[in-house]
Amino acid sequence: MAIDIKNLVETIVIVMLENRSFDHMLGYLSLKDGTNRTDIDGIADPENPSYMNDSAGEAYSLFATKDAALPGDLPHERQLVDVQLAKSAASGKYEMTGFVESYRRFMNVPRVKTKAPPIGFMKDGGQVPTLDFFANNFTVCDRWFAPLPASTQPNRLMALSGFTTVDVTVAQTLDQDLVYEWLTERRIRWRVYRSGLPFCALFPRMWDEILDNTLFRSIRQLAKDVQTESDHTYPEVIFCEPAYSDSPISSGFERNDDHPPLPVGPGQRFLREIYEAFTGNPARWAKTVMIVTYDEHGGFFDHVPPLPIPTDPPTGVNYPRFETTGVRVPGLIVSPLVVPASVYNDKLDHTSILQFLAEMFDDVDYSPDVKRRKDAGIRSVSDVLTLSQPRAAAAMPPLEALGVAAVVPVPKPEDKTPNQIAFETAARELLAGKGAKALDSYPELATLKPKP
Amino acid sequence: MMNARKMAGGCYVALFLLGVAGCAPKIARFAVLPVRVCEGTPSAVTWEVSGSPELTTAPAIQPLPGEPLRYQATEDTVFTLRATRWPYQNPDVAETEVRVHRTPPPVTERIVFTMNCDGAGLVGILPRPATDWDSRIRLETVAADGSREITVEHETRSATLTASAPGTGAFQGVAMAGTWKVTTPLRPNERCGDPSAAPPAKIILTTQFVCAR
Repeated sequence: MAIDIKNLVETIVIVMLENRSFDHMLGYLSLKDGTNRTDIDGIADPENPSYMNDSAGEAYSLFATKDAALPGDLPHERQLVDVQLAKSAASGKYEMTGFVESYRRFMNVPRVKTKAPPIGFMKDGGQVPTLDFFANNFTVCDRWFAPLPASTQPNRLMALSGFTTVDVTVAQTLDQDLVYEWLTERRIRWRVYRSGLPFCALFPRMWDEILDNTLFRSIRQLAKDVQTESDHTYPEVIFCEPAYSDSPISSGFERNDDHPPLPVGPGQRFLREIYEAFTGNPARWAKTVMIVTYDEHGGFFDHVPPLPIPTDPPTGVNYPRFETTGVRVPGLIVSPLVVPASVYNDKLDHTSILQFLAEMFDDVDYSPDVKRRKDAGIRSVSDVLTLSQPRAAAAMPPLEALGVAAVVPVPKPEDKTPNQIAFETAARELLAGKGAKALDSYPELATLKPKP
Repeated sequence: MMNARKMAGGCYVALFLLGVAGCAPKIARFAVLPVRVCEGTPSAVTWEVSGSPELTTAPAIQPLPGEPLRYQATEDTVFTLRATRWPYQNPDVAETEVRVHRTPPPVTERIVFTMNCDGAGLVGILPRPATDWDSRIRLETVAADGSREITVEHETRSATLTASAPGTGAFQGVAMAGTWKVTTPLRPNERCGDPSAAPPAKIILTTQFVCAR
């Protein structure tokens, strides 16, 4: 542990967006012809032959792109992630060159265009202005991996539990122990600031909680709470959730979770608003650690092979063992307790957050599952914190100077995805089970169309 | 960019029969073949979509008269097919594109082989569909990067590429289409499937080809 976290940290903020890889979002930081951060393992040279993807014998080079809506979603379920990792029978290594081939199979076409969406990367910091600001003023973690080479639900469950009962995203509600219950058992004050339905609406066991305004609150109240809430009730752990594109309701927020085909501009605005809310109270900010990451890579290219850390299904659940972590995702620690423009190169994944919570609020490991990952080399978020004297908050440039991508029309998928069906099922059952109380918190539930 | 064809799809019928709010567009198939053409060879364009299809080309070229729908590319041309949902207010759109490469002599292209273990060496096999290639396209040279000995087999010919002779004209006049095979022996310090002594996962050949007269 680098610093005395129990004395220096009072609030932990967790923000997890959707479906972008490290190289796709932050690879530009290392561009020789651009920012040239040689301390960060990004895309120094897009023409590096080892980055070249191939599909049906044809070669595909990475290309720089502007933020924009994408033609559609990219493949990111277990089977096609396996294609992306491209484990070579010859070299025995994960070559990370199958992203285009995976996309071709997903699209069910004989070939894909040269500038295939999975191998586009943000051309400069202007495309991701809030992340760029964070990278220039806080710590970039360039070895933060999604825990599993799989999609949203398995990876979010790893983040919320340290294990997962599903290995693919399923079109139904879910049930397993969650970090919220772990915090409650330890009498830790926690709260979710939500935009629309929170992710744990997928868990019927959490429905009483998500209708409890002390635990689940609209993110519109965040800035005011940070400014004025009493220390006795102000949360020690705060989860800030975007408006998920898979949710049937968004409580009037623009969808801003960065899930393709969305552009990332709305997500950048979302992150900016959170940062401004917390830094709006300098005394509280001085003792805050904000963790920004993505649930999984969403099918986008990354050049760093996954870590050889296996994950078995929990007892009573049957799915094939995962042999590695997932693909690298953006990970940033935004806090007055880190050195500006620094980089952390050691291994992290979503369970690094659970390790951090256990260090803060317990005297033992979070769970045997999290300990197994720790023993395999996954570090805690606390390891990233290095300053014993908090520094003042950096002011973010004005919004108009950031050039955030305009909101553009986003194509809708023809068929609902399993996660969309799961969200819709949860929303209907929540409404049916909790009635008026559910409508008090989520009035938009009344607009759900009857099931066809 | 030119709007070459615009026509209604089968969505309307479903709308009236089912009384649903709209049909999501979908491109089930879009083919422009061959995609590698020589001067004067037309490419046939076919598709299956739901929604209203719209075909554009960049640069703008006119279709040849008659059926089926055919275009004669005079330079590299991108064919883009969009399918739009009816009604057009707040439309949903599906879009895909195919680039037709017009071959001015000579053209260079990399082809990538995924290598597998095969006894004391590695082998990579790559089929190249005949439908993709204008039958007049013929190989001139085949080259590797010279980093190791590679034997190339294609059609009835073969050649061994080495550090001192990384390129060959042995395939001159042979069509690009067909099955390609490359083999390379393991070096003494290489062990197949062992990341600590890894042989190459892929082998890349650079081919040069022309349009036969």
